Amino acid sequence: MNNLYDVIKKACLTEKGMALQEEMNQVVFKVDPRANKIEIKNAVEKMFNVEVLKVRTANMHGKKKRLGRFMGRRSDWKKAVVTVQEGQSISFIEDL
Amino acid sequence: MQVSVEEISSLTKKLKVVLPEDFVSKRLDKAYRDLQGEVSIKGFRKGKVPRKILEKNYGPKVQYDLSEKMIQDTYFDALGKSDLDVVVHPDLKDHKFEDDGSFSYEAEVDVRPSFDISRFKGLEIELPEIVVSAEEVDAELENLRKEMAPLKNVDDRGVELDDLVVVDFQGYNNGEPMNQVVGTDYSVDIGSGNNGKEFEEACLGLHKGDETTRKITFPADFPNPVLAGKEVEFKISVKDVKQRVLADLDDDFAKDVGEEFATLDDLKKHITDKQYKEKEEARYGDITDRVMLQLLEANEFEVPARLIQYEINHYISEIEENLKKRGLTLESAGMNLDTMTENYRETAEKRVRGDFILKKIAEIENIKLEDEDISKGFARISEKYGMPVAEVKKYFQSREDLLPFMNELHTEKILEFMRDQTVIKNVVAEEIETPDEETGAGEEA
Repeated sequence: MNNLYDVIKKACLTEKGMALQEEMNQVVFKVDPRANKIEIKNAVEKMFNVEVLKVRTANMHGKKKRLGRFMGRRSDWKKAVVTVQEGQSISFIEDL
Repeated sequence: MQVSVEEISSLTKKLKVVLPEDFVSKRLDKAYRDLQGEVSIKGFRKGKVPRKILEKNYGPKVQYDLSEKMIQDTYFDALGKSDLDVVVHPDLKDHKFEDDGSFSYEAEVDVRPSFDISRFKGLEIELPEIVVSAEEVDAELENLRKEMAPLKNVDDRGVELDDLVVVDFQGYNNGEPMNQVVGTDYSVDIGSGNNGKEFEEACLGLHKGDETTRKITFPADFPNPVLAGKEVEFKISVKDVKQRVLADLDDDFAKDVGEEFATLDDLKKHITDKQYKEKEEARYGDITDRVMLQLLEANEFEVPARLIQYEINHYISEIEENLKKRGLTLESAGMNLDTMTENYRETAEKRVRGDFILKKIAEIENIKLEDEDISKGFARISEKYGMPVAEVKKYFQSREDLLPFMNELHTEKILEFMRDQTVIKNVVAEEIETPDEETGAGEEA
C-alpha cells in the first residue's frame, strides 16, 4: 500500500460523520481493511496537510442482502475516525 | 435595490439592477431550506442534509432558479424606480451572484418614443365612387345560371367545355400506382380550373366509357407535397358525361333562385345591392389603409428596433404556421429567412409606428375600450364561428389570450373614430391607383 488513495478509500459523508466533525473536529473515512492506525494517520496527514491527534478504527461487517432466493453479503469494510488538531480542519466537500 | 440607467441609443436603455446582500441571502436561505425538504442523499435522512452538501450538489441549479425568480420579482419595481416608459419585454443579460453576496443583472429595454402628432382630424382622402356595373350583375347572373342548371346525361357526343364529367382515375409515378392519387366517381367541372387545366383538358372530347392516359408534370412548388415536382401519369376512365341545361333568364328563373324574387328585375336588384355592400366593405378597408398611410407620412419618428424585430418574428412565425398546415417548411417552400426579414422590415416598421400613432390619438381623444366593446367583440366572434358567447369567453379566459384581443378591439375603435373624422371625396372610378398593401395598425407587443 504505497499509494495514499489505497489506504483511504473515501470519506463517509453521513449525518453522524457531519455531527462528529462539527462537535469534536473528527473526520470519518472508509479505509482499506488491511491498513493500521499508523498508516491511516500518515495518509491523512499527507493528503490533507493537517496534524492528526488520534485514529480510532472499527471493522464493519457487510450487511446481509437477499436477492430473490439467494442470500448475499456486502463486503466488509473498515471505518476510521480521525481526530484532527484543534484549529485545523478537513473540508471534503471541496477536497474530495 | 440600486437601479442605474445607461443610455445605449435614444430609444434603447440599459437598466442595471443590484440587489443588496441581505435581500439575496434571505432568498438563498429559503431556497436551500425548501430544497432540503425535498432531496434525499445517501448517508442522510430526508431533511437532514447539511447546507454545504446541498450547495455542492445543487448550487448552480438553485442559483439559476433563484436568479430567474428574483429578476421576475424585482424587474417591475426597478422599472418603476427608473422612470422609463418601456414598451417591450427586456433582454436580460449578465445576471450573476457577486462575491459580496449581492446579485446584479442588466436589462436592455426599449422606451416609448415621444412624439407630437400633427393634424389627424379632417384628413382628406379620395376614393372611387362605388359603382356596380351592369356587366358585374350579368356575370353574377351567369354564375347563378350555371349553379342552378340541372344536369342531363349525354352519350352521343364527347366532352365539351362546361360539362360535368364523372371519372375514375389513378395516378402513376414511374410506373408505380400512387395510393394517395386515386379517385372513383370523381366529378370534374370542365373549364372551371378547379382540378388543374391539364387534367381537364385530358378529358375533352372523350365519350362515356372512354379511357385515356395523360402525363402531367407538377412544378416543384405545387401546393400538394404528394404531387410537387413529380411527373405523374394519370389513367382516366370516363363514367358519365353530363351537360348543364341552362335556364332562360326570365322571371321564372328568378323564382327558382328564391321565392322572394317575383321578377328577374327583383333578382337583379338583389344582386346589385349585395355587390354594393361587398364593395362598401372593401372600401372600408381602403379608407383605413389610406388614413394610415397619411398618418404615417405625416408622422415620422424612430421606433424601437426590438419592437420591429418582434413584429417581423411574429409575421414569419405566422407564415411558418401556415406552411406547416400544408406540410411544408420555410426551406422547402423556397423562402429564405434573411431576405424575408429584410423584405418585411419596412412594413413592420410602419405597423409599429402606426400603432404608436393610433395609441397617441386614443390618448388625446380619450378613446378607451369599454366593457360593452369587449362584449361586442365576443358577440362578433360567437357569430362568426357559430359558438355560444359563453364558449368564446372561456377561450379568452387567460390574460395572455385576452390582451391581444383587447388590443385589437381598441385599435378597431380608434380606426373607426378616424374614419368618422376623415373627409372622403368621391371621384370617378379608375382615376386613382389602389394603395399599397396593408399598412394598417399592427398589434403592439
